[in-house]
Amino acid sequence: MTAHIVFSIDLNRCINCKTCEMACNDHYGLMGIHRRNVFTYESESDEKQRLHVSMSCNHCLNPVCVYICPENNFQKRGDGIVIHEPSRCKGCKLCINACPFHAPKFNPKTNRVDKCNFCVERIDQGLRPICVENCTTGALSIMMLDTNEIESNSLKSAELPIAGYTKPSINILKKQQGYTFFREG
Amino acid sequence: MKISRRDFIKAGAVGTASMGLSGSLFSSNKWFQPVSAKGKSQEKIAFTYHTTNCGGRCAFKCTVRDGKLSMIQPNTWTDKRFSTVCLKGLSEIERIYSPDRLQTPLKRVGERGEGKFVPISWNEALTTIADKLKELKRKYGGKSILFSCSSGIEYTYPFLPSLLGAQFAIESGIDIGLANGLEECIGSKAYGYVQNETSDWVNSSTIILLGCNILETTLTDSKFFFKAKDAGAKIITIDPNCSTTASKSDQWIRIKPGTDGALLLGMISVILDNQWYQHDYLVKNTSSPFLIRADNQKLLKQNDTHEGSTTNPYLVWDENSNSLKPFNAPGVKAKLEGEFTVDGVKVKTVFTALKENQKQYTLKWAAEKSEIGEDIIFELTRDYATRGPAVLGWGFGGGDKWANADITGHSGGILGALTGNIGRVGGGVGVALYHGTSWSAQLSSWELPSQFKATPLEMTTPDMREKPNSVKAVINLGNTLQQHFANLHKTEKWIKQLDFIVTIDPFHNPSVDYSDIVLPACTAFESEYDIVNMQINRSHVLLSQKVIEPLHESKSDFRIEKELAAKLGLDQYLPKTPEEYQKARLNSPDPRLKGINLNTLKENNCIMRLQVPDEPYRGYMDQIYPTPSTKLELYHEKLAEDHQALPTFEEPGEASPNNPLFKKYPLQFSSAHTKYRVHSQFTNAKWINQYQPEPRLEMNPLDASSRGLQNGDLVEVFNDRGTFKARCLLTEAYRPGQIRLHEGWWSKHMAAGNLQNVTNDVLNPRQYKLRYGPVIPYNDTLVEVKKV
Repeated sequence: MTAHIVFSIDLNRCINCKTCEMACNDHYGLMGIHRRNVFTYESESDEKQRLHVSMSCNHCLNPVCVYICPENNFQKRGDGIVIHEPSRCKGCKLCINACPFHAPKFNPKTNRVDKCNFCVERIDQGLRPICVENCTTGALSIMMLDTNEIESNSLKSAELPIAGYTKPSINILKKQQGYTFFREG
Repeated sequence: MKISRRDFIKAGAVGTASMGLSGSLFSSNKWFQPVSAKGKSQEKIAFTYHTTNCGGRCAFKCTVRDGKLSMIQPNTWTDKRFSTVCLKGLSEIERIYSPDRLQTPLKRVGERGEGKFVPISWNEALTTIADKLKELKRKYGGKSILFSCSSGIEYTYPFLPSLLGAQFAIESGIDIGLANGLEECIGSKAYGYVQNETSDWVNSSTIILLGCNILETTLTDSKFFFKAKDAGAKIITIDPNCSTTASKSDQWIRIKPGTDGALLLGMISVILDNQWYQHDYLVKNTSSPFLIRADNQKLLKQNDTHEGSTTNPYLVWDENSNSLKPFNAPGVKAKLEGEFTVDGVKVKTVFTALKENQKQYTLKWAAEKSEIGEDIIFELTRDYATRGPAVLGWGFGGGDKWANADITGHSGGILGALTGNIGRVGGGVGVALYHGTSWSAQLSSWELPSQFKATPLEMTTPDMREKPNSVKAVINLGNTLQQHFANLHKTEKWIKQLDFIVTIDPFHNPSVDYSDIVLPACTAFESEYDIVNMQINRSHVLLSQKVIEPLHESKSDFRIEKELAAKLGLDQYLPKTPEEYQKARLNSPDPRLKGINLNTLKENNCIMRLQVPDEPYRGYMDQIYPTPSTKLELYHEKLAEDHQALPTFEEPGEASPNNPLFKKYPLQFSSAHTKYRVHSQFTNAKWINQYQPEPRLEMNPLDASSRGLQNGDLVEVFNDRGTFKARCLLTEAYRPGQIRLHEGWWSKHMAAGNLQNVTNDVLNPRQYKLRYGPVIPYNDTLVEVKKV
């Protein structure tokens, strides 16, 4: 049994404020691309409700980028984080086409691929990733998740059309409807 | 279910569209280098905070590399729950370098409003202003000069209005509609904020948010919203639209715009009918047992020729002695209900009068008015009155900006009193936004010699456009000419006949174009001085440091005021530096400021918590109110002749089906806040415009189809006051009959016109008697829409 570090996204809390997207750009001085994006879906069950989900690299259990890169620039660490080392990147874009989540993106400024590295340098210092640090509503967090749970993670039940074959290592807290309990006095 | 890659891309269209846009966004910004890019650059950390009036008050830890701001991160507060920065704060890294920055002082060469300027020197600009102000003061007195200040300005030129004897206005007629009614009950003057801090919501059982979109307008308080929800509070949002807050609440109730007062009156009736009110609380802490004279509708006092107070007490009917007694006499047991005859005059208790007045406001009536089901109002009232501590929180942009807002506020105060939710842990009635309630402390002030006094504001500023007054020159700090007045065409007429207009702001906002002289101010990140400013907010003292040197030829507000004072020969009375000024303010005997000075602040990331208990702030826990009687006053005798001594429903001033204008203009126009901007600020921020690049008129598909409109069509919004054009956005989340454009868009971003061209500026005469004067009913506006 192994535990991996994963992003956890609470659909009850994300309000699509885009702070996570730009906090990353701010921290890494990125121009023109976002490592993290907030996607909006119309909910099937209620047309007035929209679901917002903040997604970057999902640091998959079965990361196709690792297998497909001819330069071996991707590595999956013991804690589950998939790191991309751009210094040897030749810009062949195989990973961009392979990833079902558009996590690797082509940085026109460097002519190399760029991807979320889970702020490993912060993780190694005991800090949270900068997007999590900046999330104003607490929708975005990180957690340790057993790899068996990642395997059986049912993302479809959250009404999100997320491809499962790479086994994305994320945890989605589903939107709850009308859940309340009362306290006395 | 198998989902293909193609499906994912399709579903993600909303996100990818904005990515495409941002692709070309930063290519021209050469200054923006990766933080870890260079080896030998000079790097420093400076602390400041967001001064804009979103109320977030995010504190920034700024990384400055080679004199350029290169990273903004949340600064660490003593109370870490406040350590946060939203997109607006992050966007400053681009906005302060915006091409919209005013770079040099400007002199107008075209017509007012035309926007033609030539650059001039600081010396010429300041000399022109000083000479003009001196001349006006000599000819007409200091009262001929009006300082009109945007609410987002932190340094509000605290000395010049006094030195000149000028008038000073900030937010005349704005954000005070509901406060007018509520604070007449409470006796305070605090913009109608809730009594308890938002962090107290974890102790609430029911939280009703009435036209209060806290998750967008006070984004940084969202953690308290979710904490309360996690702790089991039932959060009910009442809004015409499925707002962001509504979508995250336990219940969303759709209300007809302008009928908030009717809903609250209906709730009062349900509480009275079901005897859900707190009898003992009403007798002890409110004016409910006071007696109203049938002959003149005044309250019975010991001496009826004088105003009531604790020394000229109101009289109540004492149950023990079966006689009249002062309400504050020892051992009195006041009767809550009843009618009595005193010296031949019939009197009845306020509570009895309330019950009688409420007879017209049945549940059925409220349901018809507000278009909410009777069973839903009944359940809502039961949740509010019987489940324990409850919050009734509203905002500034919903029911506030309507001509009947004071009645809604008054009804809210009565609801809080009936249920004992004022001065209670987990309770509160009022504005729940902007974290407006927290621990505070009394700062000292910088005293000017006594001969220097500002002239009290002659009248509410919207009236200056029409009624005779002394104002001949306006010093506009920020963007008040667009934002602080409805019906822009009327404002423009006034502007044209003024002698002299100056605008001071960092950006070329729409007010700039009307000005004769324009001065480029620094943003909050820039200054000539190491210490820039200081404020108390959210139970902490925050100090702002210089982050970067002034950009272009801009000067800090402190320096501009100082230099202008020097031209007037009066600068010897001002502090020499902001540091000296802030030292003087901190030199206060208030024990809550003990140990807090500039040195200790600098040692603590420029943030220190006041010496206050480690608990949420809760007001009036002692049940002593700053009213004449020290009780919650539910009966407002000064409004008896307006039939509003007790709340009496009134249709909206304009946006009502009873208005004959409704046939011609059947849509109600609302100008609301968005999470992406603060009023008209950030309209020019590229980091934000990538997500909201242009103004969109939101409307329900039903209203669109009846007018033959498709999503994205360019439409014209018009009424008798004026017109503007924008593209429409159809959304089911929007209520049929109401249309909306987010407020604050600058004219240059609109397809044509300005949204203030159509907004309603008719003030309610009754409200001149109230503590804040009449509210500008921006949302009480009828329009029609057609395809261009």
